[in-house]
Amino acid sequence: MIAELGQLCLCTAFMLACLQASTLLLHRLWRPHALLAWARPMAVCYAMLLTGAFAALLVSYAQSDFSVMNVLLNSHRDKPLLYKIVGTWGNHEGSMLLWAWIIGAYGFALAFLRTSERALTHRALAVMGGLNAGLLAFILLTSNPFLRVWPMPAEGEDLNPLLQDIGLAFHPPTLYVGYVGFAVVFCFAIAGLMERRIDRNWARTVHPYIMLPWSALTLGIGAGSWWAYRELGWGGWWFWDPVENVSLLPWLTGTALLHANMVLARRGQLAGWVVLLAILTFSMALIGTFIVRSGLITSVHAFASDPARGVFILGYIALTTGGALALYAFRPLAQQPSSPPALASRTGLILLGNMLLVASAATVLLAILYPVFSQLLGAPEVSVGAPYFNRTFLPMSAPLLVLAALAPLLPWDRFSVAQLRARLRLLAPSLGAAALVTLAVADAQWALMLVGAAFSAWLFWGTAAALQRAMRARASQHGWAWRRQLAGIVAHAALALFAAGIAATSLLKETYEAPLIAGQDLQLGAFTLQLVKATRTTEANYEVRRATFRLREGNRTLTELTPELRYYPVRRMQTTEAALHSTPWRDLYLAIGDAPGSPEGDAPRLGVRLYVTPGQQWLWIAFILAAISGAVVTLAAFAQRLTERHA
Amino acid sequence: MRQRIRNAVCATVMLLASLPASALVLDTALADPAQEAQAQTLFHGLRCVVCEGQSLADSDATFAVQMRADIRSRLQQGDTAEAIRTDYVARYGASILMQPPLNAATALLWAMPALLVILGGVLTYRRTRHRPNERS
Amino acid sequence: MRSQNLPLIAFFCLTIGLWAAMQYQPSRAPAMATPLPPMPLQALDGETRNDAWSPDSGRVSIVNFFASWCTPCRAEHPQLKALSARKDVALHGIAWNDTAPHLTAFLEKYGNPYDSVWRDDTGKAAISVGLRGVPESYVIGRDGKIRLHIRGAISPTMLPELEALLDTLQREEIDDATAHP
Repeated sequence: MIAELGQLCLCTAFMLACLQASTLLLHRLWRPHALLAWARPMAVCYAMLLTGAFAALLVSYAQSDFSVMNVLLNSHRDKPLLYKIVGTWGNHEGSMLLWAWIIGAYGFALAFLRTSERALTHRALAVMGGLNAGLLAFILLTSNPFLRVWPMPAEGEDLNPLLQDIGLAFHPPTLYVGYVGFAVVFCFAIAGLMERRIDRNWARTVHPYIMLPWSALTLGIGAGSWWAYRELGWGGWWFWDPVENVSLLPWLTGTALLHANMVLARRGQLAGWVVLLAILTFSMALIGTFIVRSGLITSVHAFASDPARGVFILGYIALTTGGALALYAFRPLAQQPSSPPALASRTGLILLGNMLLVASAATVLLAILYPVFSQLLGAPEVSVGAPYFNRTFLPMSAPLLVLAALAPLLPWDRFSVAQLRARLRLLAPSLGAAALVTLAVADAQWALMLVGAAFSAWLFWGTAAALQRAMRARASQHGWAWRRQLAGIVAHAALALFAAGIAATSLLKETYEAPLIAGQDLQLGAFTLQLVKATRTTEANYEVRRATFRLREGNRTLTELTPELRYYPVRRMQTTEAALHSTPWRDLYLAIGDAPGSPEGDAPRLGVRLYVTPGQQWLWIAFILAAISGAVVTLAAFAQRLTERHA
Repeated sequence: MRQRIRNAVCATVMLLASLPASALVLDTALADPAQEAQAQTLFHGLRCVVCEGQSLADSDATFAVQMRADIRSRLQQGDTAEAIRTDYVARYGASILMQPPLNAATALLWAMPALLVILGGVLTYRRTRHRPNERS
Repeated sequence: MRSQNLPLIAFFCLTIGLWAAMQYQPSRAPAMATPLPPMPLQALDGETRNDAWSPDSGRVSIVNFFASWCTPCRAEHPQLKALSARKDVALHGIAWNDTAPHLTAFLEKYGNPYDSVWRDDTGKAAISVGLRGVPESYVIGRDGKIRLHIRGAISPTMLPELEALLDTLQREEIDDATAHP
């Protein structure tokens, strides 16, 4: 019954979305403004219908209603309630429904939070109706979560135990708020092209709808990496997996977009480039979805792939992005009488940074698709992994740190060589600081360490200088404008911290591995492990072996750690739950596993692996700081709008 | 008393260690350090075929453990590292190498990033020059 | 006007490329027929070993790598049963990273279509044929060479093509010199 209600909501929402999109054409024939204005209440209704549909699926999961095929395939009676609910979006159909719900919520926000640009907003909502109609058609025709199964089976199939983690509760929804959020600016770009007007007002209207998805995407990528670090047992957090790369693509172009939009809002420049980036970012999100759900690339992350779905998504992409790009090509914006920006200006530096970001995104996309295309053309299969990205992506994105330090210190208009030299002199001491740090932690890879420290120190120094300037000019800033400026500074500081974290975690990491010998403490470098307790119990849907260790460094007792080994009988799968001891300076990561028998032929033993990673927490702090700064800018934009309305 | 507790703990550890495993598994290194170093180089250069993006050195998958054991045993039997690598590539294709080889087929892959930056640089430069007939 | 057309053209090319990639089906026949290497295997009980097992020479065989924990392997079981009905083709099963009790239970529950069942506990057999996962099947001609390599489950739609290939291989004349000793 509930599933049928959900189905009904979806079908009604589909018809509503079609109606909403049709106002784009109909309003030319009949009642131009009134008809477009219907887009607002329709968006509100659409959001309510999608909420109903999503709630129906959630309830089916919570009740373990195995007559719904989606619940049958992806849930199990023994799963804790939290993971049953979280499992709603741990599969293809449920995640597409979540996607649709989030886009409905964005439409609701857009309808509810009125802007000064009424006609533009209505048109954008109508375009979004078109997007929604296509998305719902995809769901209803190829990925319906409400399909029934009869007779109803007694038990479901267990969800992959790797995915039963609190990180999974946050990771996909946050990520989707990011991906899907860029649809809003996409719709605004199309609406602006239709009205042939992309200007400062457009930029100001759109800015919170760029910052919010960007923050969410930053947080989502960080959450996914943090989850991988905790779950996968060997201390890695980014694997250049196709699905991970695919989430990086819209983040890179989205970062370019937010900076270009700042230029458009402040200076009225780069309108055409901003539109192109808006179209590009959402299409990156769509292409990414296509890549991981079509079966084109198999991945541990990927959902069960189906070529029929793949072709549908590809058609959807062709229509939406192709249509948008066609509009961009054939409907030129009204002539703007401003001269092109100078390269030697803040705008020019932002443009350079944009170029590097888009080039990196193109590199990542090429690397994802290369194995597919090379196979198509008959060349021998190759795979593209971390070594490739380390040699290409890192050198391409490192100059961004240089630009990010300089740009806030230079004027918007053309700057002179003397001004540039002054800033360079200002930042030069950071290189000395980097050299000192490298000397302190020097080891075999000191050259790379120096480079990493130099870039990071440069940006830290530049951000500090920008902060100093901002504080001096504080008197002229008030309330939200000051907070926005501060948020930008914090975001750049987060980037510097991230770069430092990458340098530290990849170059200074230590690994120790040894089997446990009965009756002896384990000596691993400067650390001593003493086994305190070992147990074996059965939990809800797994058996677990736990070992508690007391960790000492030299004479000091640091902490007690309890890593686990879990065995899930239904899936016959064993996973590692590592024990983490995190401090701001370093992480101690302890995992237990099976060691082969000793050479004397004894029975198999337990072994331990200890990772000592300096700077690991800096990465997570950087993600959070960047996301918070984005959230602050979003709030600032909305607050400004509210005050303008009441003024 | 302490010894008793220790013995009890050890016995429990023995019991725990008897389940079949596919999570963290520690390898036995080769006795000869030079050979073990060769093995480690091979492990870092070959991909784990049942994982996503991990090298043989980093993976704890059962098959990766077996592959490492196979490579170690072959090194012990006297095969050269080069011969082992060639053999694995012959069976699995060039995709088992962590780093795509540099040859005519992959030239585009390796050259593309630099080309993209150069192209981007040229386009950015042109964008900042005065163009009276283009819109901004 | 020209520079505004470039993104559209580039996108068009990308979409066509992606569509073409979707249509591509990699051929399952290896470019050059290579002999199936002799494999070190263990019998079902785990004790008996054969360090250089090969399917019987002079007969068309199918070597199927499977495991009791693998869901697609269960899905292809009906197709394997259909193939085992052919008396002229030998069907051999190699269980990869499996345990005796689970294997026995699996074969009892779903039926045993194999002429002989082996275990690959060390992974060396899998490595020797370049296995990437289960299930994978190799069709071996009477000359001992791999004529078809199927990655993934044998689907019902594949069966007619497979049966036709088996008929062709049956009719092949072979020299005594090229057959396994």
